[in-house]
Amino acid sequence: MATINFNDGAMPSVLTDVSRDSILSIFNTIFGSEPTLESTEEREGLGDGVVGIISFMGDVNYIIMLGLPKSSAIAMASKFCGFDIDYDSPDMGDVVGELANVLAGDIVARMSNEDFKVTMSLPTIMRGHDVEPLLPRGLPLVKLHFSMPEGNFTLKVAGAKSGDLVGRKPGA
Amino acid sequence: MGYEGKKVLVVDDSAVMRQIIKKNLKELGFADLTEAEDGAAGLKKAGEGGFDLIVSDWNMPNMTGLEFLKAVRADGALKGIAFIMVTSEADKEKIMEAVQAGVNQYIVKPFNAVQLEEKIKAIKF
Repeated sequence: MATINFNDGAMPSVLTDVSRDSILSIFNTIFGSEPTLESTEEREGLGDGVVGIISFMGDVNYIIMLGLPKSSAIAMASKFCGFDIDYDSPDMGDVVGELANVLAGDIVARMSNEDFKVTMSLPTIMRGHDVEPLLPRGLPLVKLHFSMPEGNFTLKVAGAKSGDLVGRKPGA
Repeated sequence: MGYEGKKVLVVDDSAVMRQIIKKNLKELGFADLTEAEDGAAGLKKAGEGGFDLIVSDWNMPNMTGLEFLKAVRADGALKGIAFIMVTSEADKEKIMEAVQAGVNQYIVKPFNAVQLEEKIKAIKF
């Protein structure tokens, strides 16, 4: 069993590698084409969009934030569901939450293969202009910017302490 | 295969996932579909009677799919209902718990109508 504490403030490569590989695999399965990792550089904000947030707890505590600009969210929701979803409806949050949920499930399985046992929260959804949770200082954050035919999107991976985690646990 | 006379309960905390699963079931010929938003609500709906199949998500608030499955199997009036658990990759390691609790089949998200039909055919209910 391995553990990660983020004491040096750096993002361990296993977290970014696993997150990237899960994105490539899951989005290819759902949408029929593999996204391209365009950049890990700082970019301007999401603009109008939806963010699905899931926390991981266990041998390492961290958060992923799947950010979809409005146009990407509309296109991906239509393909994921097989029917159109109104951007302003609660269903759009459901779709992005489900995408984040499926992605996080794959991440948990891949982390297990890397000898890290983690459990995942239920998704938390934010919608608005340049929305993102305020994260504690001193913990690492990596931004992975992807493109695919349905549009661009970003996955942020942030280290966390157990008290910083977002989202409800499944069950009672 | 004729499924139009079969009554199905779809349980998922995501309204969209319920719509997607119902769409898949309709494509397969199912017509009598009921939905619930978590295990607790599903148990209440199941108690209304007449269900042939439950398709339930695992990862839900209030009562997980596994807790729901165990409650169904512990209820003399409900224990014979066929049960398909919808899981993510994260739950695959735990699926033995569901098998021991009496799940008939499980299916990993994302899935389509063809993959769901394979699981339904395997139950032979």
